[in-house]
Amino acid sequence: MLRATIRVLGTSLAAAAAATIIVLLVAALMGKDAPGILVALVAGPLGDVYRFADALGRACPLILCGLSVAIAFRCQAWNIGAEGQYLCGAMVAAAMGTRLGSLPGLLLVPCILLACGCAGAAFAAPAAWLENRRRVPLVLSTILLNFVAITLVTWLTQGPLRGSDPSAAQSNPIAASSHLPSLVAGTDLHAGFIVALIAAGLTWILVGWSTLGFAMRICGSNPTAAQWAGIHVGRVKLTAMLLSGGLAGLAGGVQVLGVHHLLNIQASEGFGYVGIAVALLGRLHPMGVTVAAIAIGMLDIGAGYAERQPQLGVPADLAAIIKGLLVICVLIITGPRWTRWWSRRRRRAMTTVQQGAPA
Amino acid sequence: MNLSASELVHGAIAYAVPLWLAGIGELIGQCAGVVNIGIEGMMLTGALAAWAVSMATGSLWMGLVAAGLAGMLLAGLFAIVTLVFEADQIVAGTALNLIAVGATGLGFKVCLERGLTQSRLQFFSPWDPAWLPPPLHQYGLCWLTLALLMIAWIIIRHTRWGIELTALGEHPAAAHAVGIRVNLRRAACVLFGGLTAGLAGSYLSVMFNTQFNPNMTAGRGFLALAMVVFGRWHPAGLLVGGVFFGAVYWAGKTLEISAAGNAAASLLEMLPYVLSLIVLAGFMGKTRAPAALGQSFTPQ
Repeated sequence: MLRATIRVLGTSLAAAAAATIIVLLVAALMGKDAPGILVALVAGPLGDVYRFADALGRACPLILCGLSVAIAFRCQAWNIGAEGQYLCGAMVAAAMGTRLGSLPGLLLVPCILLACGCAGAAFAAPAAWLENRRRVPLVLSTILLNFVAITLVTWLTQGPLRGSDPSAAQSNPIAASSHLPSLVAGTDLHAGFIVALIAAGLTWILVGWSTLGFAMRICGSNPTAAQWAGIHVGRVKLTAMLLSGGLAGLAGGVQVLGVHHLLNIQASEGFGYVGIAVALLGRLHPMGVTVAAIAIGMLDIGAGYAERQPQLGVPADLAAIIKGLLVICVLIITGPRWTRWWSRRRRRAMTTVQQGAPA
Repeated sequence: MNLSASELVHGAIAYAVPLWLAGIGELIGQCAGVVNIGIEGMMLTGALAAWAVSMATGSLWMGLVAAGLAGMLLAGLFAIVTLVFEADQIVAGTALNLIAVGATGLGFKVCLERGLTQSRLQFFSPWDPAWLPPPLHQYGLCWLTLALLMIAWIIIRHTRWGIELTALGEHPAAAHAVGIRVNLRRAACVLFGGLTAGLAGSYLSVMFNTQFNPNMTAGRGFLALAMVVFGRWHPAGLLVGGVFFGAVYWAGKTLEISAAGNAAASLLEMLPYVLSLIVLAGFMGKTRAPAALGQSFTPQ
């Protein structure tokens, strides 16, 4: 168990290191100050308590989106639609936050978060239904639904939810009673982080110790065996998709209530897609996802910090490239080819030891 | 409002070109058993490369070459990850999209910083000889794309290459047994997909529009992906799907412009995506994907 954990941690760390090194090498080739960029990436989140708190705040939607993707991917339901489900949560949060501000916060915030989760799940449902009944691949339907969600946000911010500011397509700020309270004043770390941690804990219990979690794992590793064992594969996948959508919707709600406090087209910043990187880096395990999300949150803050250092001259988009390469590196290291090569090498090493022992 | 049939046909074809072009590369890849959902990212990268290199060198032709190369660069990365390391194709495709978003964001900022301008660029104009009816006054790339579709159709259905291509997607082990180098062929198909996706991007940034903006592909790559599926992996399906969605795009845009100021008009942008979901729901029951689609192959 411990050894397995160490190996999993090792592969993720190796992937992260490889992705960062590649980007730094490319930066060095382009004549940038690579060591300086590395220092900025580290000093960004770790050099200052407030920026560290910001990184944890940034990790909050990433944890929830990562969990969302992880739950779906665990049973090979390829939900690429966390982005759209996230936006649904954000829309519901903005709508309720601007309209129901007269309610007391202790009642309002849980209600909104619950509604956001339901909205996300509801948005994932058509995709799950289409796969179940019409054999439409989840990959396609969830991707297409992302664009439907983006259009809905555009419409809401120009129409029904349009705020009083005539120059900007955005909603009014949500009522103060619907804000998630800040944990460290002046930073983006808010009570949503606790919500995310609770969600991670519950997901852990679900996938690790419940019958449903077991069924999901079987459906993911061998659907035919699952079918023969009497597991209703379609229903398990549907449940996983609803849970996945719910978590992504929750992420949208938490981010609007905790950080943005209004709805505009920048509500997401691609958190749903980054959730895929987070889930893979965390190896689809809820605790791994949490750690990976915090790491990616720190990367974002670090890249933002590097962008603000004029002598470095690197835009924060660096972070997105590192994330993409991260996925590539994780895929390579955990892929069949590399695993085969690695186990063959180990086996050879072990036979050498055994042959050497009697002598 | 003035919706004439001639404008409709012209608009439908003009909007269809990037869908066709990106679609044909994806179709060939999928026939060979490789599904690349990074097509959107390759388009976006191609769009930026065409625009930036055109401005930097002053030659649009160099821009087109750069767009193709940029698409192929990403496709090459995808090929290494999925064919050499046999990683999951769906996830590798999403990684491509993440990289493309970061790389184009970064590249766009660099272009603006360097102060590249397009003032001295002489953009292509549509080919419009007098004998051609006005709806067909399209860019040269449009005709190249249509030719490519026809050639692909002939090759896939009527040549030895095409049969071997189908074998790669249906039963790679059988193809391997008769001496076809499966992963090498697949890599060639993936690279071709990168080339066409990059060119499709260049159509968006230096022909159809004459500038780049960071979200300009707006899901067209994913739509092309859907078109390949409900076009039943056949170039003719792609041709029809392209015209249909081209018309939907054009109608949506035209209505939106004529209803400017009305927020509900922005909902029209949803049309291609909702319609493609509906078409998928209607058609999927009758189609069959290549049997080995998305599966990696290890030669024994």
